Amino acid sequence: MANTININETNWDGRRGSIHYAVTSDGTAVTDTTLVDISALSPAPGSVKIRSLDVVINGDFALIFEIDATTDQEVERFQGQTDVTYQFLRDYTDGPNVGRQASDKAAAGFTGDVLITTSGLANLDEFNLFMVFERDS
Amino acid sequence: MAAPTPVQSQEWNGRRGAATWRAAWGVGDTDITDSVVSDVSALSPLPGSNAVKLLAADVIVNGNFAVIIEWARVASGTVDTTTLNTRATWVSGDQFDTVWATRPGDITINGVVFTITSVDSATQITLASDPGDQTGVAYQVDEPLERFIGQSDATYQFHRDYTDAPSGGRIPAKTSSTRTGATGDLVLTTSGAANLDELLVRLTFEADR
Repeated sequence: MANTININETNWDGRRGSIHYAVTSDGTAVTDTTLVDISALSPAPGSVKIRSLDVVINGDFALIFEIDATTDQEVERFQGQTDVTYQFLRDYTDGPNVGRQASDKAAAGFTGDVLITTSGLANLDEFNLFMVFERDS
Repeated sequence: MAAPTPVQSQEWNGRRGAATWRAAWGVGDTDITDSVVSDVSALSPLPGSNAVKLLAADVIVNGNFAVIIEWARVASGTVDTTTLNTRATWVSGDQFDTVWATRPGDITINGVVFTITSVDSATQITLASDPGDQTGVAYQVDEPLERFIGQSDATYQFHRDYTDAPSGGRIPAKTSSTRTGATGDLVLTTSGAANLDELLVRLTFEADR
């Protein structure tokens, strides 16, 4: 059993990046899947901040965004609903630091990778996310 | 039975353009496969590298079906298919690209769309469903760009703005300057569309170079 990844595209220009990731599920939970692998970006930043999230959820499940550390740092969570599709748009660029940062970049085991986890994902549920991020350090 | 005929138009001022596309399904109408929403080769003057970057997608879905938007034809040729292990084997044309394993999408074989499960080698791929036993049939692979799914008894409007991303928009990974056969066209496929469903699409784009 495995989810079908419909789209998986990362772009990075050294300062700003985007990730487009779309999944149709067979019911397999997504657990700490690496959405942005900091070390794979060239040139690699120390960490990134999220400028915006555009997330479409089809199904009664939660999609959780975290920054990787020994204790992962949750940065966002969206909850869908049965028989309804939602599009969530969140723009962080007007906030302090012009983006959503990790809460503790000095934490133990901090890698800066952006992870996603689902809760309650079921067969035929879908999500489609477009995230824009930027070098933070 | 046939797919509905879309009503569409395209505007272009030499630098920025927009394509509008809509269709309504009637009794017995089938899904649409690779309908050209934006015909890049018809733009005058042609954008550099025969490619545009997508600035925004505005998609209204009325019905429980999926809408898949792709860059057209990054690879084509012929394949043999087998029911055993749901595989397709390269025969001629472009060989399979291992990048498809990390940028997975669909492959159209003999007019039918299949999901690629894995690219096993440059000459063999595994499909998510049974393609049957076929010999020397045409295949085409497009580059996945966007996917939205609707719901019964509801209308959704999805709006996605790509302009804050690197390059100021979404660009195809493979254009005609880097890959023979790629057209740079934006094409649309539906999955699960049925009687009384409707779809309205507006794509805004810009010359990439």
